[in-house]
Amino acid sequence: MPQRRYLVASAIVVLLLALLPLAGSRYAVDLATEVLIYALFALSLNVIIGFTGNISFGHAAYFAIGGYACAILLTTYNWPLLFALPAAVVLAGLVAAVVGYFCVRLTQIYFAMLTLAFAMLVWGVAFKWKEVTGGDDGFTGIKLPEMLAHHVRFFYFTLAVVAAGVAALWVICHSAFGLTLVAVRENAVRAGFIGIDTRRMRWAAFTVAGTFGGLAGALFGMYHRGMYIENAYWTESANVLIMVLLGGIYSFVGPIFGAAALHLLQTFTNQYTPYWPTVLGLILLVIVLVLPDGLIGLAARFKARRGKT
Amino acid sequence: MTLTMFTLNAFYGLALAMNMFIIASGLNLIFGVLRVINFAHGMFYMFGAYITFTVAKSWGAPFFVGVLAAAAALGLIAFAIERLLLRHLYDREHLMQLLFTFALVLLMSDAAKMIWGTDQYSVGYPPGLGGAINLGFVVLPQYQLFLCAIGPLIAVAMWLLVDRTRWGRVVRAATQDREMLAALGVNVPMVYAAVFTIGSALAGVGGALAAPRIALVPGMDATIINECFIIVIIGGLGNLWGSFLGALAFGFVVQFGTVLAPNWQDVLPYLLMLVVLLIRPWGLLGRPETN
Amino acid sequence: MSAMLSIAGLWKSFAGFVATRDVALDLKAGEVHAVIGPNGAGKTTFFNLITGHLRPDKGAVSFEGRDLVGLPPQKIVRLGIARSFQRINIYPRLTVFENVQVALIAHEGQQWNLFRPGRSLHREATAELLELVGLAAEAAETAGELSYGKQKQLELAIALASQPRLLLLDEPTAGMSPQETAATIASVRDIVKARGLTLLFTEHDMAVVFGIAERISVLHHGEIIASGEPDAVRNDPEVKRVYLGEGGGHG
Repeated sequence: MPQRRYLVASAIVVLLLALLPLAGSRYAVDLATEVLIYALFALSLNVIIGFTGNISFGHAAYFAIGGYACAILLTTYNWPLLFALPAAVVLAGLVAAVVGYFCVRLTQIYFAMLTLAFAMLVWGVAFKWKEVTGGDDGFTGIKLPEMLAHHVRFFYFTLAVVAAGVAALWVICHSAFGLTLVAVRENAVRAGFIGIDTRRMRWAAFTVAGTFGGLAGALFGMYHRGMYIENAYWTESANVLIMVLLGGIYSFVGPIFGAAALHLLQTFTNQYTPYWPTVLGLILLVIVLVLPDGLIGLAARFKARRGKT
Repeated sequence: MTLTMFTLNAFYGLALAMNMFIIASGLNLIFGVLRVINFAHGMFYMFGAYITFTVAKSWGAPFFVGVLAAAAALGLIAFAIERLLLRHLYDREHLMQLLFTFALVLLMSDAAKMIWGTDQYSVGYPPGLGGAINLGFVVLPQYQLFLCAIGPLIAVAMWLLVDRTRWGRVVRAATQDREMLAALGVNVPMVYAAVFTIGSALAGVGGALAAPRIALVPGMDATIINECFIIVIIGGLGNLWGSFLGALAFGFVVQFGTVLAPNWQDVLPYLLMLVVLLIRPWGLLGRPETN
Repeated sequence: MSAMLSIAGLWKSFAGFVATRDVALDLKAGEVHAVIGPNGAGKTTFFNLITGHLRPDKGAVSFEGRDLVGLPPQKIVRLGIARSFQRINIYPRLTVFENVQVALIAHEGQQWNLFRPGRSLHREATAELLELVGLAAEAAETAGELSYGKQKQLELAIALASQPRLLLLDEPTAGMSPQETAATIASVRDIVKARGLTLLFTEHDMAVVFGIAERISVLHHGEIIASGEPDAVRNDPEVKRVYLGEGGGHG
């Protein structure tokens, strides 16, 4: 059963990651923490792109809401993490539900532009509400509980939360709901005619995506001990969008690879040259002209070719 | 607000709208015919402005030579991109076209950095248009007057081109059924190339004309592309007069917004788009896609 | 016996062009009824008006006593009507198996279930349906890669998955070779009789129609010019003039 193979593979990956801190490199542990957070962020966006076939240009909004809400609850209101984190995630989900309600009335580019409009509104609020969010100075000095102050313990915390998030998304995406979403992506007209309310399904998917995006954002804020309004700007949305498209939208794990690949590439490239945009541009050209299914598609083609010889 | 202030702001709003229309109409034309959303359109605009700077300021040529140079250069660049790369992507999914234009943005942004560096530049008003006209109760700058005149001129020219010429009829037919058109012996690839070239040249011209009004800084492409999207979406994707209306709405909202609600000025265009899309989901003059 | 599907005074125009002109039809439960007509007669428009994809300008459509006008397609499906499309309308990147499975999931209202794995639901019922339409061997293949004829069979399986009482098939044998046509029509007839379904289908292959239809209606320029038993229709002078006069027989 392929399920068991995936379970084993994931267990191995988690185990390997858990052993990472033993290598003794702070740099590696921090990098892994960042990759995990972006992986969850990218996976959440793919619930919209890969699973309903629409593109969102404004996913950073929920990332930012999760991040800011968690930061503010922890620091300004002194909530314990046990309450602050779920509350932030729920808030992100609620906003996604409200925004999604309006966005799913449209499709394709109009849908995408509406998601962008709402995201920029969120950015605008974060910018203007200086007293609460810190405006363009950002919200700094986030108070973390004692036990998460050390970077290794925070890494394990992130690993646990992200693993749980990925597992939850896996269940949702492979459920009857997930299969129906894919049908909606493949042929919305047909799906409508087997009794599916495609608009409501896309709304639900949007809300799920926003919820898990908010979770990623909360982790992000805590990791950086601060949230900045750039995290709500459309460039952040574009960044995660590229991660998803790079990894491949037609598989569940594609975005994880996309997030890892993009973030690692970016980090390493920035150490050697200021021309990361050129590198990324060339990568994108390669994908478009040669690898339309992303990295996962490339892997699938390798497998197919090996099977033939 | 006094009459003077109101007139002045309305006037500036109109000038801004006309400048934006020139740029947005190019994006609209490209989408209307090729069904491609060119994210690099903002980059073309930026290049138009920078090229005008180089030609008019660094080389000392007259301003309007700079504008022509911008149009020509962007036309050439766009033609090359279309012929060599974009033409392979028309039948692919929109996702791929999106990524491609993203890639263009990235590559061109670093190219701009290499050619012009990261300093801020400015271009002065051309001689003859640097002054102002005194109407008694208000004083109107000449350059903005020029923009208010040239915007509608270009709108009418485009309308005549698409609606009244044989070439325009071919272009309109190409949006409906390009296979049929090819079967009738029309060189569809050249039509597409021409549309992409003209649309991008418009971005270049828009940038060139904007240069005296604004500061030339890296990142000006990002602001402009968002604003163009807003205008085109508000007006209705693919509709020329829709873009004109959208640009007008944009220009007035932004200009008056800057004066009346300075804290919210960055968000106002998005609010405008939100309101329009909630009332008329396909834009003011748009219609739902029927494919 | 009162009619299962009752259509009266149906009109539809598009910007001045009358696509459907005062159409009336009564379908009894268990009947096999064909709607024939040349291309452009308005057959697909007629179907779209019944299934909620288009809204009629005037007229009534009722199914088992319930008024259908104004209902969206997904509600009409739930009332017991299923339909296949003239142009292939499947889920290209899903497997054949998943194509049918999704229809069953939707029929059972399980599309909101976020927990039960999609691939494990309705496996037997899916296999049965695939067996019925002759696609059991292709279950694991990607639907988009099937041959045209097999995709049409998949269309039929998807339509049957919603357990309809009334089946609307829009040109079920369009584009098929003569052998495929014969096989498809035979299997459709068997399925319909075995499950006691009512069948309304459009066609312009005469052999197909006269082979299985119990009653035939002829559509011409959006208007029904004849309706009745096959022999009566075959010998109707108006039908002969309009249909057979236009370039001889079909099929």
